[in-house]
Amino acid sequence: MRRRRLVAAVASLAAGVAGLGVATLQATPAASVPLLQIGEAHAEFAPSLRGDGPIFILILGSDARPGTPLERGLCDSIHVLGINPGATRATILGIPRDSYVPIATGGTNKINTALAQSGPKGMVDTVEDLTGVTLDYYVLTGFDGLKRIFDALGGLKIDIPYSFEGHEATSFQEGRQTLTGAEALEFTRTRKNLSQGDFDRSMNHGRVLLAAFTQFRAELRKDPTALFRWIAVGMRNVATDVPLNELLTLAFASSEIGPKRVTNLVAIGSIGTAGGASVVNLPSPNPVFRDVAADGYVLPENISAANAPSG
Amino acid sequence: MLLTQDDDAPVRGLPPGVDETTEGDGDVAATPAFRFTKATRELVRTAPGRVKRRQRETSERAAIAARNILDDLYTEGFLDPVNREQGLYVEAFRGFAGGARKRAEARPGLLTAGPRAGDRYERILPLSGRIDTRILLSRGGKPTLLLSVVRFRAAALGPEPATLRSRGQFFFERVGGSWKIVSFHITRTDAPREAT
Repeated sequence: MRRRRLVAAVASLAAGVAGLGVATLQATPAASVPLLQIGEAHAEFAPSLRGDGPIFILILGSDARPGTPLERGLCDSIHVLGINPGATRATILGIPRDSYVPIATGGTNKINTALAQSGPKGMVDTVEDLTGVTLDYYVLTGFDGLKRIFDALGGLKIDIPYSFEGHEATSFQEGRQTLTGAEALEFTRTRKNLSQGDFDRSMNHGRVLLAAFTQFRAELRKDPTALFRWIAVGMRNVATDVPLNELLTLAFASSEIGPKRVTNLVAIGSIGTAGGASVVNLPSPNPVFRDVAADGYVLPENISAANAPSG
Repeated sequence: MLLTQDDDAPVRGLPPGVDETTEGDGDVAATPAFRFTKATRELVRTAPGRVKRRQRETSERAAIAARNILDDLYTEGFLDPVNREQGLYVEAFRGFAGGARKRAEARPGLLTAGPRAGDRYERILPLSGRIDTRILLSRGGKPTLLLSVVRFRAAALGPEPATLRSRGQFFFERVGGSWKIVSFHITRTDAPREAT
């Protein structure tokens, strides 16, 4: 796993940085600079991302119950977040928890066991071996962490693409709505009532991540103090190796990638069995992994319907 | 004589006759004293538990460092008569880092009294300045990011009198061992004043 230092660079004058301001005055030659026009005017700057290549963060959700450390639960939510600053694009790639893969510490098993066997590092190594992606950081949370995050932020604003019954009797209706922490957790945990089971569930995990990102950008645009609230709430409820100062750079630069430039997809495989248990067999070589590993993102036109289940 | 602003509030601190334009008397006026008044300060934790006394003290020092930078920015940028006469504000931007500094220097008219202030104003006097600060603490309790929101008003006196109003949001991080502005957003809403 690579530990990278994000390089902050000067944003171009034309960039709409940080989403905090509006149009600025045009530059004119010094000799003809008019007196400052009385009225309202703005200036702004925020650091932007400029690295040597894409940035990859592994986002994990543990099913650890109370009394069990997060790092020893089964990892039922596994997503690679690829960010390409130069292309101002990103991709959220879900890996099904039942993917039958070589585990970095030895043997072959469902990928969600790698966390319980050897903690976040083992999970990182396993995903790197599977996808060919070199991960920069990981972020890990659990049931309670997820609930606390969204409750502290006043709920999760999300556009649900289709109606379905949650696994604990909540009915989710199609459309824009705000979910409480408990509702967001149930949204992410529901599998059996979805037509493509765990593939759909993984897609919903990606929807939650994208909705949270969209909400963060919108709140930051209105009020820069939102940065503090989001980072504080996030850091208090996750385990991560992202240094705080680099997290801040990512947060500042979030405005450079609009939600429409983030693709959400799931690595699809065939259903099989291994040792009597149902597993997912991912194709190898895997074109989706190769695409993401190359530059951190997959263009919408390169996503097959299979990789973007919609219930 | 009481000088009134567009919003009808009396201007504090201006002696009678100060609003009259005068021919240059050859002496450069002294820079008016100015400091932002601390309004609020909030510490934001990223780990559970209480903020310890030493962490508070470290955060206080960080907040003071940030305020000093902003005091200097607005003093150099608006109140220093030599800078105003020359329309040059080089020292105003020393508290900015890297890209933020380049951006600030490219927009002097918004972050200072402007390159032509010497033609328009004879004096600029501070009216009010308020600063609200939030400090983000790392999991170890170290101040890592500061946000200072400032509101500044000044009376610009001379041939084209104006009330100068600046509202700024400044993010500070440690750069090269000292606190520097790494991101900012400024809004100027200057308004002409009635000459009396």
